[in-house]
Amino acid sequence: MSLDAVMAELREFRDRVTGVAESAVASVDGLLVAADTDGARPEALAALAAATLGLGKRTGHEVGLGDLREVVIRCRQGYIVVYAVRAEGLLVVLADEGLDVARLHLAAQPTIDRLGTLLSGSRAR
Amino acid sequence: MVSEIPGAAAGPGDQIAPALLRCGTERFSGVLRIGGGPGGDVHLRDGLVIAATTPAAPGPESVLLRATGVSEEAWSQAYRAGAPAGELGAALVAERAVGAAGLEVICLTALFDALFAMVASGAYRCTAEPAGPGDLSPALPVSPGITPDRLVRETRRRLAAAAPWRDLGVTPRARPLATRPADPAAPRPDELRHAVLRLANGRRTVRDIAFALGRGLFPVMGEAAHMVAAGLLTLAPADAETGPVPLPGEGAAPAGPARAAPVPDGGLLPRRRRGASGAGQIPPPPAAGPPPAARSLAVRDIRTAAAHEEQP
Repeated sequence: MSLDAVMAELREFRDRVTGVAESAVASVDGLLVAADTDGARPEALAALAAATLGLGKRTGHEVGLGDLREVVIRCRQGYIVVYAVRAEGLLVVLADEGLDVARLHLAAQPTIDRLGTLLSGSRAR
Repeated sequence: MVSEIPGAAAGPGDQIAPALLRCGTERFSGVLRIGGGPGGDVHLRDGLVIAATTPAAPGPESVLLRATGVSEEAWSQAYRAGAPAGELGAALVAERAVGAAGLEVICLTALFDALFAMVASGAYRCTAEPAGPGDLSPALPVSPGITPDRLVRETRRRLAAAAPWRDLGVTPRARPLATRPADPAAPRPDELRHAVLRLANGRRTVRDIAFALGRGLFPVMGEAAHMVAAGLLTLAPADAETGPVPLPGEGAAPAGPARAAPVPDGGLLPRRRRGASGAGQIPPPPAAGPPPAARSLAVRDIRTAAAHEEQP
């Protein structure tokens, strides 16, 4: 089952990046694909991450700063980071305040790449 | 100027020590960037260590906000008043968020803990970057700082104390799991022990628990090791992690990975279907009602190795 592959990606990502606590993959319109969550509500996280990503993109375009890289939200006890996965998907990451954000961005790239292939790649066979 | 200081390979704790000691004798001001593990930065001023930041251990800010109960309001006010001038610590004391002596202890303890955590998490080399104009100094420094010699001695002491823990398998990245749930009604002779037990769900690492509590990695590792030895905790296998383990008594958090049913055909990414979603509603809190119905979502594995497994 390919959903297992998505879950495996999310678990591996959490294992690899110090500070990452939870994550989810969703479509850009907020439908949940898979979630590696602990306390967060997966469906709510997916919907809010989609809204966040959309808002980030529109704000970037409005002020002419070019394409969106990612959206980083910093709170008292940690970070919420939303990455686009190709044109149709997104990856949302929750991390505690110990996270090294620069390191996260680097570490996320191969994961986003593989998730893109898993999500929107052409059909097998 | 950036100079690479290769660690003298005399043991895990000794790889950073020579570089630190050299910074002391040269009265170095700047940052010693530690690489490997999650690594981190050690800040020095005139050869004295004033702070260390690392993803491996909670810094003074985490300790203040999570463990000592400094309110968000007091923190924000002190941050606004003091941080721009590099006087966050003084502002926190003026705000009466923390006592001057208490703050000193927290900053010093966090500094020792950060070095221990970096080395215990696998730091292996460092690079010295001298301070330049416009550099931001650490928000909560130890003033006036401690000698690298003292820091190295304390780190060695902690590493020696942690060696038996490591033999039990208790490392910063280990994922402890309570063998039975923490009993909320039980007497709590030791608050930290109870807190670690409560958070040990097989998913969080020892490091994650330290952050969640705003307590040092060193004491949390110690508690975890004691409880592993006592059979109160087991360690989740590093590789075959089976996802989140629901912890009895921890409420109705969504248990297990949320997943969706596969679509019969044409499903690459899930598509929102008209009227199927409840239009922009945020799902109700987890306690209220049954789990959300499975939606028609699926992904396909196009990786050739797994492609032949199943075709829904």
